[in-house]
Amino acid sequence: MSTAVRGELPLLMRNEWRLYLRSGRLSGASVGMLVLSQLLLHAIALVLVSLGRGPQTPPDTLVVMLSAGLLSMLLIMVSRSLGGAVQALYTRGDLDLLLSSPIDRRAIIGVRMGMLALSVMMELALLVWPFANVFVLFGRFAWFKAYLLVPAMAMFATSVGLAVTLLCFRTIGPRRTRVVVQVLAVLVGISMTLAFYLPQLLQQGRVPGPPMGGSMALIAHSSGTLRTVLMAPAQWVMESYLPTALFFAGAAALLMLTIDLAGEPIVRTLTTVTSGGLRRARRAAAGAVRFRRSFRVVVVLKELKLVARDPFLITQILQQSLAVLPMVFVLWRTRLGGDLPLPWLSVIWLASALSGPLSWLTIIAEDAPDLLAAAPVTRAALVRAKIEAAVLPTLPICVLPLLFLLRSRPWFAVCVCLCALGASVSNALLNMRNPVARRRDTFKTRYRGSGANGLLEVLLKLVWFAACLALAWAGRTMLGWR
Amino acid sequence: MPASNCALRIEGLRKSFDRPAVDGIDLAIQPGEFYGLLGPNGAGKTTTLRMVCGLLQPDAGRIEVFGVDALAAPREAKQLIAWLPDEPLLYDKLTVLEYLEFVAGLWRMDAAVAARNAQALLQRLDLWSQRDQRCEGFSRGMKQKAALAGALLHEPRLLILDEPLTGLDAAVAREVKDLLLERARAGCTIILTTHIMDVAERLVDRVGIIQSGRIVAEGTLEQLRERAGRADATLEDLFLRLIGRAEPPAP
Repeated sequence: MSTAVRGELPLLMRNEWRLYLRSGRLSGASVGMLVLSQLLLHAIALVLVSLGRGPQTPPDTLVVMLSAGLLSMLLIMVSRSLGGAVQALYTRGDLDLLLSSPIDRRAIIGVRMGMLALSVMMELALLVWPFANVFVLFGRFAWFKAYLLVPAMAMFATSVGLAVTLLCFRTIGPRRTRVVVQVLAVLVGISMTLAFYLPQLLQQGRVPGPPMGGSMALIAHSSGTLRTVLMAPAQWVMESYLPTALFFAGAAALLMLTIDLAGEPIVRTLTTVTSGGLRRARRAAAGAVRFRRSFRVVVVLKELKLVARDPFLITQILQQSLAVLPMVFVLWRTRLGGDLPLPWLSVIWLASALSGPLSWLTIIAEDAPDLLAAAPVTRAALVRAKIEAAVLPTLPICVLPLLFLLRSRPWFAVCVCLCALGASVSNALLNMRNPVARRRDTFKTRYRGSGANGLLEVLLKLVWFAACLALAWAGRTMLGWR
Repeated sequence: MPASNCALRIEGLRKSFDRPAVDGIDLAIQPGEFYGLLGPNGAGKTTTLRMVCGLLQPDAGRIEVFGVDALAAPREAKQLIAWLPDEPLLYDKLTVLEYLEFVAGLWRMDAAVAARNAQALLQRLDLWSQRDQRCEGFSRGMKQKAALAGALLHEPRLLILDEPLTGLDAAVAREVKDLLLERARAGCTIILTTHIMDVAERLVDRVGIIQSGRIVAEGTLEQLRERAGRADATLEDLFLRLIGRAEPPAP
């Protein structure tokens, strides 16, 4: 290990903090939004305080809900830390510079992972601490525990995220780890929601109350291990300071242990990743080269390959598409549509959720804009091919209703299919409004500077949704079509 | 408009950003000529070449490529040109062959001809064994060679290279230079910008020296030496003298 340098930790921490602030999470207008949201949360907490004290002994359902909330937050934190660990391991950034310096490697990795824990913590802290601030100020001192609980959860989640990522790296290799861990992060993030909606789905809506509340009431009034396990976290938190303090100490120790044990493997992983360990040893295909003839096919294939080969993009798109699931559950339970199979409307939402990011990636994102500008092709021909590339992957989703409903509800199937296609194409057209080429790696911040596009995407979804319902209703009432 | 005999004719070309970047350039380059456009940083070389390639719209002036008005008929002009900047125009997630297939599609080449050219170029540039590997794993030199293969794929009549040897090791730089000389001998017109004067001295037939958006001197090395009255001067000496950075002679 290299010589220790005086003051290395403050230097590294200052550098990490500066990079965090400048990473785009806290810049410009978002600082204003952050301040506003904090004021709003404090105001909500004040209103809650003025409404008076809650029951001294909360009902079992409320305890289960608190437990579920805590577990959901923990799972979201694990999800964030999995994503963060992958990013830390696969993004070279300034690590070459830092690791080539005489600063202790453990300090470098420790500070970076500490920063990961901090960033994981910040999101939840900003949500929970305003309530803790107000409640403590008005004498509800039990809320002091929130100041310990949130960092403890973040440290625990970071340790888990880091350990899982390194374990994957060891067992399935660097190429698969990136995809697997990012998909895992998405699944972990939504797992709690799924878990609580499933009983509702299985009960076909026979459970009273809102979907999640219904499931929780079921658990609270049941007897057995699930109830005991699910009530335990909230009971620990409510009981006394000791379990929270112990959890904090344990999580801190676990994080330090993970960093200490994982420090060298992380450096080795980084070396593997940044020195070409991700390259697939592909054998060149034998025989003569064959090219496709059509310009359109070549452009569409290029766009689809670029998306398909980027695990980060795939997981981002997957994440946004999975956000449709709660809507499916809501539609499943609703009785508003009479005998219409309303869950199929989520196909429109899904097609739109998929085509939105895909349209941005194919139409706006371009890593070699000069190559296209220097080529003897018209912009219109190029954009047409790119729109095709954006819409093509949504086609299988759009035709799903036709496959399943054509016999029983042909008109409704056609309506859903057409509106899903419309949603998909309109998203692509929306991205043509301001087609300034941007780099693919800015995908996560694609709405920056064009926030109207994000809003319009949501509005378009609603418009197509409403259009489908209107068409289905008009066909049935006016023409008797089902 | 009468067809010109020149491979590239530029008349009164101007482009301003916050200040004039190109300030009335006139240039005439003959078919098959290997022309070096030299100048200090910020002199206007890249801006001029980007306007020729159709990447920038000039404020004023005319650009003609083999008699085709590049401003009035950009697609026809682009069909004749290839552009290779110092930063290779590649897609990291595509293999070299997929990249070349995409380029062939952009230039609407016949698929069989494109495939044949791609194979020949990759073999010539020693990239054949890596043809199915993604560009993201390539070294700087390999990326530049892949981009050069892309530029030469459609057999351009005018090849424009902006600092093509930047960051290349000696072996790769030699391969690139040899290939460029081959193409020039085969009749391809080449315009090259470089900061490496030795390279320009050995490769190019004629040199244009640009400063503050204007051509301040033009000619063969012999003509420039003659004009400077220094028969033994290197191109570097002449260049520094022409841009006013020459050291005063020792007393």
